[in-house]
Amino acid sequence: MKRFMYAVKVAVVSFALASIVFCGNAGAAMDVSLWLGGQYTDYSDYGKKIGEFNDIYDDGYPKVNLDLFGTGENMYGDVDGYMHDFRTAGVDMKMRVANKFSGDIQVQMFRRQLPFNLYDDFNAREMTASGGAGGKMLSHEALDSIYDYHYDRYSTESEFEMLLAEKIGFKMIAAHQMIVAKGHEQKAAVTHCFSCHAQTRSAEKSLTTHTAKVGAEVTPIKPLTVGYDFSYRKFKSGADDVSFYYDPAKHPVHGGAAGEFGSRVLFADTYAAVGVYPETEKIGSKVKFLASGEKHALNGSFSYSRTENDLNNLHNVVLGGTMKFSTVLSPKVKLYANGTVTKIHSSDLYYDMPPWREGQQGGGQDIFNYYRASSLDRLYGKGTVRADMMVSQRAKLSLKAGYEHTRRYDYPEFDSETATNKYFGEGKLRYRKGLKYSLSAAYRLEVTEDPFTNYKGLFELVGRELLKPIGDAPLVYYYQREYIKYQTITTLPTIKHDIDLRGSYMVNQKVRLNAGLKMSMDENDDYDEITVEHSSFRPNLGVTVMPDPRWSLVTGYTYNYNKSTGPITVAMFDG
Amino acid sequence: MNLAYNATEKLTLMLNGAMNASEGSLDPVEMPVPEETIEHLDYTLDEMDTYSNIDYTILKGGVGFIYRFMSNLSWNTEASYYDLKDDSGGYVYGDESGSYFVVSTGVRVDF
Repeated sequence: MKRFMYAVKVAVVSFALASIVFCGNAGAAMDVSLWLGGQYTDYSDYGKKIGEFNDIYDDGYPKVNLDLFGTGENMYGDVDGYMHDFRTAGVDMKMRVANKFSGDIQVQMFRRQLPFNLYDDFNAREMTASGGAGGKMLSHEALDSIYDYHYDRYSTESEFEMLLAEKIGFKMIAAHQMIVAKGHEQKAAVTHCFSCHAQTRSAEKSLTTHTAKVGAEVTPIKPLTVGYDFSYRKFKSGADDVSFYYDPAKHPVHGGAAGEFGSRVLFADTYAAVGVYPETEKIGSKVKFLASGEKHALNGSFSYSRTENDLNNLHNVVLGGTMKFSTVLSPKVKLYANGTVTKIHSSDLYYDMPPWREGQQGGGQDIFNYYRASSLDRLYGKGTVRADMMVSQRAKLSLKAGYEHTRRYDYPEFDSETATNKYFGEGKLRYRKGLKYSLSAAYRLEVTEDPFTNYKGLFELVGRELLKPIGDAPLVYYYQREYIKYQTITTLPTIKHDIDLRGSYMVNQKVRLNAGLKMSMDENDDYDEITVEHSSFRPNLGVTVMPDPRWSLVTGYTYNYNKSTGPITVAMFDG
Repeated sequence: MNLAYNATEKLTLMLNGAMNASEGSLDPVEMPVPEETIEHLDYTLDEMDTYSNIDYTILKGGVGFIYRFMSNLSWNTEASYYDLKDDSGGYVYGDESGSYFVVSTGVRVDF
């Protein structure tokens, strides 16, 4: 909060200095609009959902809105600020001095309400044939009584540009962003030693993100401009970690067999930290260029960033490049071509697990060690070509085609790869007859080869008929179910259609209509026995009526229908 | 819906309202009949598909006025009522139905 108020003071002082500059500038003019008043709020029943982004109180508060706009010779400044209560406020400031200096500062704060998960559904226990209590159960416990969870979010964003040498277009850029979230949230842990038991408790929330960027641009030789940006971002939690107690390992009914149950779990009769936030630092560099002439323009960038989690030394590296080209083929035809390539790699993690059921009959196998490769690892590329054509004075046609390739590394197994190819085409026609009416119609087709698929297997065969104890182990254990899974599955489509229709019509000088319809239909046609389909239907209608200078009515209706069909799986215990 | 009426040169009256109704549900799941059934079965899976139901209705209504004393001085007041009705069953967060009333009044000065 202190840092936030410091930022507000800096912003106010900056504006005060700017005001002095304006006042001293010949020909300066300033328009000020100040709204001063108060607000009273009264909540009933459960206020957290209806007032999710409000401070919930039954009281009155002062309220302020301020707009300032100043102009001078080759300069202008603009300030928009508001305060609705002591937790909802903001200010947006801009200043421009010819082409030599520009500054933007935004400061904002609000409160967000968070719900309390009751876990009431965790409330069941099996009954044996004799009517006694069985071992399988679900239970829950709130370690804190109902808690008022919410957090306050404060943010400041500033960006400044200064032209230092006009002849070569040498410009410096500096930007900073700070986001702070402070409050309390609900954390949960589920112990599954001998029962499925959910516990929740309150935890302090104190997250801070700082992002800073410095850069420079120069035009060494016209029309080429080159630039470089360096950025740094730090994310950290200032709150203490929250720990939960994990139940001792024992039989759920008679309380014995501690050795057997303990041999199958990692945490028992101990405390462990839950929901620990990472502490990350990201460093990035970007080189960019722009070359533009009368008819052609080419711009591109190459970037590198590395993000590291300071708590465990895991890191992520992203290399990327983009290129955009545009050209005027004729007075009626413009062509655009874009391409982007990104390569992502994150640290692999080796899990050295304890031996399975060590010290128990048939146990001691060292079979659960594994490499966890990040699902982010990939090479991604996309290219699009678009042509915009003036068919006539009233009609414009746009055609677009593109290709997207994603190659995932280390999936489904370590050192293996999978690739997805997507092809798409799009057409859009716009027609306008002055102010009387306008219409637009767009259609897009996407065809995907090998969409991302979960290779783990969604279903299981009946285990009782297939699984047997391994070696001299007395029982069949849950991990053996991995061997009887089948049916790779995806919910992503192989073909998708999108339609977007819009129109506006001026009935007369007093009545205006606008309407639209967006539809989307997709399916995956790789599966014979399983249906994977999605569809959405979104019509909207708006009317503006101004029968005379005294009356105005603006009204509208929007409907949104979404339907998805896909396979689900339900756990049925068979022993 | 927003309705504005310039009653006089100095007085503008305003009326606004909005409604948002959201529903979401799963089709009932046809569970297979197991080969063996247990004798005591207090819970069934008949309503399993209703667990993820979404059913909210939000209503908002407001009235207000602006009175212009002169071209650069005006007074406005607005009163609004927001109401949320939750019919989704309250399995996870309980009944989230609630409402609030807000009235704000103030003076605008332009210079």
